[in-house]
Amino acid sequence: MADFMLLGLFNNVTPTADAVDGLRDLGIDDKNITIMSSLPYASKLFGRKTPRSWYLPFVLGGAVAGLLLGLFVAAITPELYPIEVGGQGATPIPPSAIIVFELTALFSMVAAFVAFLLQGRFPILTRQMYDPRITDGYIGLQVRVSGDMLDQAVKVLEASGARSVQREDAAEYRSQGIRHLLFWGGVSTAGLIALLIPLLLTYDVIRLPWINNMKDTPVVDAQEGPRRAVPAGSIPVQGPVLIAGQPATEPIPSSPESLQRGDVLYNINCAMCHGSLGGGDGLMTKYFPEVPALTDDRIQTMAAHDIFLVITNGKNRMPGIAKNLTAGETWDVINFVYSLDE
Amino acid sequence: MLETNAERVPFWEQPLPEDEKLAEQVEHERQEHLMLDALPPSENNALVLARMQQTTRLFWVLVLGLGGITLAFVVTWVIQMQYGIGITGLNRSVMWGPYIANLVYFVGIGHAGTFISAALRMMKLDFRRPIARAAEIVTLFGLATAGLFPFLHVGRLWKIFYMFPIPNQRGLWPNFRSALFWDATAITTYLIGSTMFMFIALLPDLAMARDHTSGLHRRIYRTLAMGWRGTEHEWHNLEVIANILSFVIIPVMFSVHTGVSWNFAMALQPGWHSTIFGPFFIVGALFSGVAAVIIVMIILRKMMGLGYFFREEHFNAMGIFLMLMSMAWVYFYFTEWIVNWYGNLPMEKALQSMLTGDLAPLFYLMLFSNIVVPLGTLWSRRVRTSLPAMLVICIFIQIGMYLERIIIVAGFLSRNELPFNWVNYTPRWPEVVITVGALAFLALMYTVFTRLVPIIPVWEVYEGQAMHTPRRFGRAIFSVRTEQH
Amino acid sequence: MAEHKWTMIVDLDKCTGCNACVVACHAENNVPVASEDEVKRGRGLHWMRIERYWEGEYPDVKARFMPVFCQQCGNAPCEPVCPVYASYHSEQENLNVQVYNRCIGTRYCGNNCPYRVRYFNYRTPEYDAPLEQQLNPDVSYRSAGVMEKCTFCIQRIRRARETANADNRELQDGDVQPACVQVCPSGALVFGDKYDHESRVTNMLPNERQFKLLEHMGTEPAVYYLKGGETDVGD
Repeated sequence: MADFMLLGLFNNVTPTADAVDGLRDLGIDDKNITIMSSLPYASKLFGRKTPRSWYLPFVLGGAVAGLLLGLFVAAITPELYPIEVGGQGATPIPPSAIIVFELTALFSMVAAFVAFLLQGRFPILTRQMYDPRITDGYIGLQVRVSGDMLDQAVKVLEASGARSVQREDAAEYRSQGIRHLLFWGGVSTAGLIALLIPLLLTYDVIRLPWINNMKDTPVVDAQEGPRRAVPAGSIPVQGPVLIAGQPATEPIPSSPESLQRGDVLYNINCAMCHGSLGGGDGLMTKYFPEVPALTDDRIQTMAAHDIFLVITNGKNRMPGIAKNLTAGETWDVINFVYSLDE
Repeated sequence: MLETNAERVPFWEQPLPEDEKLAEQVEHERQEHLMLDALPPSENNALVLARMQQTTRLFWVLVLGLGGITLAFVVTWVIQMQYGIGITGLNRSVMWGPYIANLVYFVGIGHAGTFISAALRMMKLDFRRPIARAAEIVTLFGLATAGLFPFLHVGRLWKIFYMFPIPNQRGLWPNFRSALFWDATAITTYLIGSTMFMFIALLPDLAMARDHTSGLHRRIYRTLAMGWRGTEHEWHNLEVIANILSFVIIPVMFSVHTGVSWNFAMALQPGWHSTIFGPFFIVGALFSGVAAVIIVMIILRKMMGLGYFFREEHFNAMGIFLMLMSMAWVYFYFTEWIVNWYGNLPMEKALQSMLTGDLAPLFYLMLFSNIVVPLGTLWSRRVRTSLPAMLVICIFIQIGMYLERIIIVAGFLSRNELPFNWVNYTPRWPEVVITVGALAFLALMYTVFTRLVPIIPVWEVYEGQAMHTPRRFGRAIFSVRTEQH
Repeated sequence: MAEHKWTMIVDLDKCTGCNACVVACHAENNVPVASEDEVKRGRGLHWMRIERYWEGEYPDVKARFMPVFCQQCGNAPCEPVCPVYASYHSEQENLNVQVYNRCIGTRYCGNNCPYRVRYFNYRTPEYDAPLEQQLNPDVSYRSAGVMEKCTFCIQRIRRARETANADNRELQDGDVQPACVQVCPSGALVFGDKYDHESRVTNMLPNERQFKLLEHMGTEPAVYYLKGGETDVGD
């Protein structure tokens, strides 16, 4: 004979407990009785044993997992990727303790929550015997009885003061079985996949066109053209710094030897533009018409160290010729330039 | 036989004593105490659900208004992303400003919720029962709002994933020696823990909503309630996990604001580098958090007509809690400053002269709001149970605690070791819009959420009501609680 | 172990406060020039700055100058606070390095630097044409939202080392000159390797006038200041 499900609805705790006792007397096992209420009544109020729950292994497992993850994240990864900062050691203990604490707490809480869902068989995917009046403060007593005991059980419920008794064929109420685990298996798989997707991005498997400011640089690179000439008065990256108006190096006094050396160097380095007599009529003037005559008063009255700067660094379209001349040779050329006036 | 009869009627139909005098007293006690004033749960359920589903014109005006301000917040943020942090008033010495102060402030607001719920639950204090959910939601959204500010604060938002501990092709792992991570980890843990804590306590109420709604609502609540029926096993499970989460979440709560305070205390900045910052921040957070919960309670009571649940006794109890926090805050602040004052180091002198000089209006307003206002008024039960007075006091405390954070962040940064680098900070419009917008965002989320879930944990109220009975003692009636466990 | 300990000596007696070093630093390191408005808001951006302090009461006032730049601390407070290792201690260079590409702009390092020598790019630096032509290709350009600071002209250090390697010789004293040292007209700045026993820097230390900036903070700076003012320095 088929089993039946009964749901009796009671006003308060005492009649429910009476019904539990009556059903027990009929020989119905306690595990076939389920009591539902809108507020947490302790089981002992119904004369029943407190249900068992298995949180400790979950919470401990979660705590250990969190502890290990915390250690890995905060203490082991710095060893794997050592980067020195601020004179601190590679494995910093106090900060690691904080991370380990937080992750231990987080994982034990999450594990407790998972335990809650698994033990309560949430979410319940099958039909359940229920009456919405239960959340209005009434107590529901669900009992599963075999067909031959049905009438006796109903009598017990009614005798104890049940406000109403529903009866249904038990075949309609199956246990969830594996469906619950399958559901959570599916959810966790989906969650894992969702966690793996960022890895595709961070490992550049999927490339997103992402903002990278450092690439957008206005800096003209060494290989990029066209370059402009160095502006007048620029300070060279290497070598001495020459500042207008200040002596650069010790001048060499004018002497016949100096003038003679200067003449030779002048003819090599300067005459093609400035002319062999400094008249500003060298061969190159057809390309550079602005070449000044060195006999000009403007040039002749310039301070020696300013001429030194011009020769070294160049001026306007005149290139610096420091590469061809040492400091002493430059002074020889300057002496010679001054002698052109005479 | 009376005893047996009483047990056979539901807890909300317990008979009154036959003696008329005592009946009067019981009536009085019932008006005072929610726990004695049991109504049929069907009425209370209907009340809570009706308030939840009711969308008045005022509600829509509020949502639109808050939504508008939130939109301004979003627009400002986009502008800031486009033009850089430069649109704010930050400068080369004051590199942290209101964004960080807001982070501290909103985490602080979020602090009290879970504390009220978890700690008072562990201590079995009954006044938490109707408040717990309202407070927990303050925590959730306070933390969520606070969580926006690191994103608002950084210079290159689009690179913020560098901070996430995800394995990557760059071969780089974040630096957990940075105090920013301690705080971020703690906030994440607290947010996840609080969400779970709120959700499990919400389950029976979702089932309640499922049983008393129809159509689409019913389908949604049925999914969310996950088939909760309230069996012994389920209740026992809920009891155990609530205890576990309470025990774990309280140390986490302490670590959250300690972590936030260490962002400052770990730096060499004068005024920040102080060992007292951890407890000082926790007390400050609870102080502003409890005040925030009281403000929320007042608004909920007024706007949703929840006078049955939020009674004078609750405001009274919260007021006492607030006063204790105020005292603790004063104690820590005094300890902090007397050490500085007595030490009289040049930097500390500079900070003090700034507080009593350039920042004097803010400093004195803060002291007034945090010390004079609460300590001068909250000793009186009449003040504690008067809603307008409590609203004003709590708003003062919000202002005072916000100023405290601003002074610590933007104020102290403007004075540092080399006087050449003393640059004062003045906020510009983006900070103002963002701050107000964040507050509006929090209020908006809260307002919308009150229409989605039952804002009163009715099962907790029923549990309290079922366990409380009036007891005659001599010539008077008292409330007696039955301890189930 | 690091091969070099780059060290700077700042002789405050010789510093005239001419700001040539500041200008040279801007040019060498592509340091953006903050507009007038930005400077008014306290956002002047110089990797190297001359701090001017007034000493005494009017009319007996003396100006004191102190060049301040990144002190390249041995125990740098800016390093451990960075969540993304943008600020870290380079073992190879033995310098405090800022990696612009990693920086996300939390600005924690800036707060934690007692010298306030870290600067934040509050805006995207702009260079009107043809100013972009003068940018140094050896130094990366920094976008808005990142921190930057003095590097001891690390690009020059590296170039000098590459040249020395190509010539198959050791680095010599004087091979490396940061831009500020190179232009200092009064020779107030001296740069060199403290591990090199022959270098000018080693020979100048210890000095009876030497001190380190905010030494009590325990940051172990690599910059020595030589006290200026009343000390008799002889000829």
